[in-house]
Amino acid sequence: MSMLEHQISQQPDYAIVSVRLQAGQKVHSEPSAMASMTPNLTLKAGLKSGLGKTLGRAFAGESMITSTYSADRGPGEVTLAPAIPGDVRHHFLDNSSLYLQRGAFLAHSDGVEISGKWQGAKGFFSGEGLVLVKAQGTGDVFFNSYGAILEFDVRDTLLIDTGFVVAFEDTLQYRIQVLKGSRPAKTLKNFFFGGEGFVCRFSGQGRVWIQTRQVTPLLQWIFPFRPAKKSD
Amino acid sequence: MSVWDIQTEFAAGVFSDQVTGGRCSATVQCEASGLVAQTANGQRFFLHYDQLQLELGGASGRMLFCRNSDRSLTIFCEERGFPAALELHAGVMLSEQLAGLFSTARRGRRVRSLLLLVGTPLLLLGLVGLYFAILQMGRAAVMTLPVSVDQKIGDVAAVSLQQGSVQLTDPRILKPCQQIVDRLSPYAALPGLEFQISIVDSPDVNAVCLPGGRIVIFRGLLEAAQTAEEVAGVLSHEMAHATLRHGLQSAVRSTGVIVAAELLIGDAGGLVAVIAELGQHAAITKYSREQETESDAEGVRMLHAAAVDPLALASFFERLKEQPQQQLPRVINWLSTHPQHDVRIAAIRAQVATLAAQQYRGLEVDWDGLKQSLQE
Repeated sequence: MSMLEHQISQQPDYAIVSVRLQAGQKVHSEPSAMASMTPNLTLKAGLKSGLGKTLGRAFAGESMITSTYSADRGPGEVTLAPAIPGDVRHHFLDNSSLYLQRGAFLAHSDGVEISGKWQGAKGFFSGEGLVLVKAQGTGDVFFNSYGAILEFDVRDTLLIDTGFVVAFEDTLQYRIQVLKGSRPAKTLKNFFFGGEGFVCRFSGQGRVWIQTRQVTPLLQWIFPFRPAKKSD
Repeated sequence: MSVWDIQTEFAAGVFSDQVTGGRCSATVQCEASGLVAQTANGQRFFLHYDQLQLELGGASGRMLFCRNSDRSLTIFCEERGFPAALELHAGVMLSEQLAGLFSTARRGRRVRSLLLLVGTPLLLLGLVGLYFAILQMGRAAVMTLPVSVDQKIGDVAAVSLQQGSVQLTDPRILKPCQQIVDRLSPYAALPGLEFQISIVDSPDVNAVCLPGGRIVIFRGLLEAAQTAEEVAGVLSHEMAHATLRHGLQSAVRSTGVIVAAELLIGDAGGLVAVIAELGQHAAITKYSREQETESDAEGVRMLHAAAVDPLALASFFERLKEQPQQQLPRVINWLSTHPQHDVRIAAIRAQVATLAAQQYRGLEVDWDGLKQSLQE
């Protein structure tokens, strides 16, 4: 079920979504996501849905600015691409909400509101940011990952490394916990600055989307190769 | 509150194999014998009160899940009035379950708010403690860095220190100064430093020894000193700042906790970069009172070890203090950065009194030639 006619292609590694808007329809995306559009669409950039939600988005690592594409002058098409290589998924919100990891939000239709959800200590200790993105309402949400996306239907309990979580449904209760030995702190530095060895414990019934790669280990892998002067 | 004031229809959701995707939204009503959920496309679901199993959960922790015994059907609702409406209609059949659920939740909330109340100040205190601990450890870590780091920082600072100044290159001035330094340098506490001197044409009564051993002497100091031993006294004090690595410690203090933390893992790159960015010798030649006292003591030790009379330093202080007020602006430099004269003089004298007997030898330098050359 979906409100917007859309097609996601080039999955899973460099996925892109093209949305065909009927006359009068709108799609809202993060800025700089637009790859192409038909000239009859109107593009407007601006703050959306109030100061609180706007700031919430900012704290959740998303842009405060939202780009809105409207088919005011007849049907048109826009293609939207996320910033990082990976997959794009569509989810239809049926008077419900979806929680997204930092940076996972790509676009949504009318009827959906995007805000930040304060995680408190949960977020602080997981090392994945203090605020999650919350998409709420009735309509379409498009989100993206780094790597491909796998879906899990949780029926009881599932542990997922915090770095792999992309999105989850509001019916799932979650808790951050340390999983001993999952990834030991190798140096003093990542003891202080790393957020490793943390897992999200999901319980209840609902769906979780995970990505098949994590960004942080990639950065750690690249780090030694960066062009920097060595101190002797 | 009467029965009629209570809301009876709520926005909810349903988990069931009979709906597409296993989940859909619905409106739920509390009826006499059970819950009725109605989906947008007309599907109806019924849960009898006496088979209901309740559970609190969801991302918010406030979503109430109502299930049948084989868990094939779940009706869930997050609205505030729903538990009250459920209790009102289901009565005794559910009141025990509901009370259990909500007292657990309330207890959880109470524990959480208590934790928050106690934990927040503790956490803040801990963070502040950690901040200072890291700074402290960073300063300690300075002592384990290779001397090349001192030299790098000294090179950067020297550029800003000597900017726009005229250097004196007369060998009659340079040579005696270098001889004084050469007499002291074998007794430096930190091996590997190369003490190079340069003399700046400035009336300030001052001298600076940068990290790594670069010494800058101001003309005013040579003019104010009456003997070569007094110059040796001041230079020993300044060299002690370098051998005790006070400059690096000051830099760590002023650059903050990230750099200190980097030092702890043995990465001095950040420190050098920050100094380079500041481009200022002021960041590393502002010493604390403790560091000045430490340098006095270390200077006296060096002088004594090099068989130069350490009391020359004390007598130089005394003479500076007795300078007439008009001349104060010229000596103010060294005084302002070196407070508490009387205390320091007394401390130096006290330290000298404890030293082992030593046959002090005069400095064999052409002091008169230096003085003469300064006047020319």
